[in-house]
Amino acid sequence: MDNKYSLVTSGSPHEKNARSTAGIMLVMITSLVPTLVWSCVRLGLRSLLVTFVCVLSCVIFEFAYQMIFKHRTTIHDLSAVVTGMLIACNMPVAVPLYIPIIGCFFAIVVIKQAFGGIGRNFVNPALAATVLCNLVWKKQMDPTFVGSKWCVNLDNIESPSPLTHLKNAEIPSENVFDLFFGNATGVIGAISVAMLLIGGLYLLGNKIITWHIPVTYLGVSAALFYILAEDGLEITFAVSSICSGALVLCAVFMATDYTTSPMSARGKLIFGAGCAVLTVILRTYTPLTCDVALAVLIMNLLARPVDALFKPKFFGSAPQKVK
Amino acid sequence: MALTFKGGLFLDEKKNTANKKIEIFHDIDEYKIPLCQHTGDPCVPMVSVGDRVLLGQKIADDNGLSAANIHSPVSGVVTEVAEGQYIGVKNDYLNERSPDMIPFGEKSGKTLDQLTTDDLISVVREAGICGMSGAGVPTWKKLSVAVGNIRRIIVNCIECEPYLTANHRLLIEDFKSIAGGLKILLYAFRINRATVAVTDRDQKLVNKLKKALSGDEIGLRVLADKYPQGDERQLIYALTGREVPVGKSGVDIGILTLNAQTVSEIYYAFVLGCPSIYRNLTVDGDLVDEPMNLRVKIGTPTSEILDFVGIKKDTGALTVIHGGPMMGETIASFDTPIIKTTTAVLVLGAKKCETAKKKSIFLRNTTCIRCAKCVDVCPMRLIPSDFAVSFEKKKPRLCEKLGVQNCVLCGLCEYVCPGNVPLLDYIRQAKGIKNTDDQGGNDEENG
Repeated sequence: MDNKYSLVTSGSPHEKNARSTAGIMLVMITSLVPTLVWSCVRLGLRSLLVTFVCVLSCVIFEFAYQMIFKHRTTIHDLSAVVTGMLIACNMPVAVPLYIPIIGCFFAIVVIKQAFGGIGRNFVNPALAATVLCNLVWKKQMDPTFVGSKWCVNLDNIESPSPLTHLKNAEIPSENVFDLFFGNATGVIGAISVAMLLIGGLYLLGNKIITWHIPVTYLGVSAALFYILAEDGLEITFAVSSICSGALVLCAVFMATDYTTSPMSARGKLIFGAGCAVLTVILRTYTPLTCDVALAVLIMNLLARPVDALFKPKFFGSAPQKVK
Repeated sequence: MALTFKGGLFLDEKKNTANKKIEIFHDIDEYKIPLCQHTGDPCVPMVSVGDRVLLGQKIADDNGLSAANIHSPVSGVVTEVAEGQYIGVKNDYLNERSPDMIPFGEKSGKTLDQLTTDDLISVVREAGICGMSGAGVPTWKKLSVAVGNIRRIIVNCIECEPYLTANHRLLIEDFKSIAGGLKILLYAFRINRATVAVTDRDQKLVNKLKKALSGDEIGLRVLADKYPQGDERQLIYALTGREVPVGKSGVDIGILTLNAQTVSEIYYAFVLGCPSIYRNLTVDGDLVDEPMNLRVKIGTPTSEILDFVGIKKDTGALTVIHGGPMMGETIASFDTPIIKTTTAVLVLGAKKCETAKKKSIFLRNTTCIRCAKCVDVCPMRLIPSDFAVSFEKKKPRLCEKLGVQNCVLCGLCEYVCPGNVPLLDYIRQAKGIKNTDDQGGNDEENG
């Protein structure tokens, strides 16, 4: 027996059955496909170009950074691809391409890799890129801006976006169904709430995200918008506000990012509620178009403190009578 | 509805040997019997090289320490005595039984209702019984602590690790020994609350046991087949809703939990005077030709068992595990003998070679991505991710405050981790246990 075989020792457990990081990212990519398809149909094929440019930039920047600093590369975990897709979702269809490329650089090189790569970022990289682009290039980031006419459905980006209406203290001109299904103007990933929810359900079904953050975020926001609305218009205002701008996109895809959200269930509920409160404040009282992104970004900074404060008690640590 | 606990995970059961009767493994030429088959100190040898020993004769004494006596599994001649390590016995195939193997009834003239806890403890101590679930706490020590403190006894027939079916077969083939052993314990402790805990995996077995126990004071409870239900703390929680306080055991809250095979050994120690020299175990794994359940004498080298069942590969690297795939230890040599706490022998293909990976430009990333999957499955409500992050920050001593001492090393966190984080290596390091060859983390499972 001895001379035929060699024995390899290792530590327990000796079995593993887990989706890898790349596997998780693949599910996320798949869940964004309905949104992307709808955007191509409604806003034009240029959405696909913007997405492609973002994904390629993110992957190239990550690879280049890791090669320059002589680390081994991690692009095969597909997290850069997902970051690229989420940045694209926050871009208008006709945006000049240099803007998302700079956004991707900021997200991957400055926010993610400079701090230690995946798992070590202190805020969501895609959201940081969104906030940067919205603040620096305010005009070009408006969904009605026509930076290029190539493959863009110009008719569908003529009227002001619902978010612009809300910032001007008006109810959006589109009715609630149009906003929900996606017959409105907006950034690539934020026009169709229906497609986003389909993606969200796919993520929930595959246990990639849990219900805590999206449900709390959307529920508390809806409640606050309801309270803030004029009499008689509460429901319209609440639902239109939820379906406008990138609120659902952020609640389902960005706020649920693993590294920048709390790990315990209670922590997640607090995180969702906090994001909602900040979103409502920033949307109602500031002219910022990146209100949702900034709200989640601020809560990202509080994610670890929330985790530390709301740790579950160890099994057997509650005071008990010992017989 | 099946009872259960929070956390944990339903694993792929792989109970390929559930219908295989336990076969008695043949005797071999030389047995190498380790002196420390239990949690605690090694036994002190009582024989020297050249002595003739009989089957069932005591060859090493516990000497008052936390240990369980060792007996010779065969009659023969002592070939080697390595202090603190093992005793080698050469089989003479005469199977001459030791005259000490007398049923308790004959030796003491007592009947069941005259049994006292002192009798119980002395018989169990003499027979060298220790916890047979893998933890190996000397049972006489456990019972001594339980005297006057317990009000309920639970027999743990949960076999939640994949592949293992030896206890399952014991329930089917020899339930009377478990029920008998339990009765002995109830009479000795003068209590009347006893539970047999089984999983709901085999409904026919559950019905059969219900019928066998109907009208009896022993209750049958059915639990969900979730890993790690077999851990004493999760079992007590699922059955009573009470959490064993940190650092204490079930006996401290009045509940004595014993493994099914341990109870069966107690029965035979009383009824036949037979000491602990046998071990029922499952032999299984991807690379085993004929998976089966065997009744093996302690001291049998693993190589003999593997020769008997056959291995599929002709040559190459193997991983052989003593125990289940989640908590078992890999062995470093084919000569490693079967001991009282070996619940299974599994042969799996070796994990991929590490040096090939080091040459690739793609890094096998081991950074924790904070996905919280480990938090969802931890049965002790710990946050394993925090341990990983402490090690990443090069501050392993933070783990103490984070509760790493409460970890039972069930392995579920690493099982579900998407990020290749070597969580259990970190946890073992934080707990001060040597990795790989010398884990010894099974103290928390009931003995």
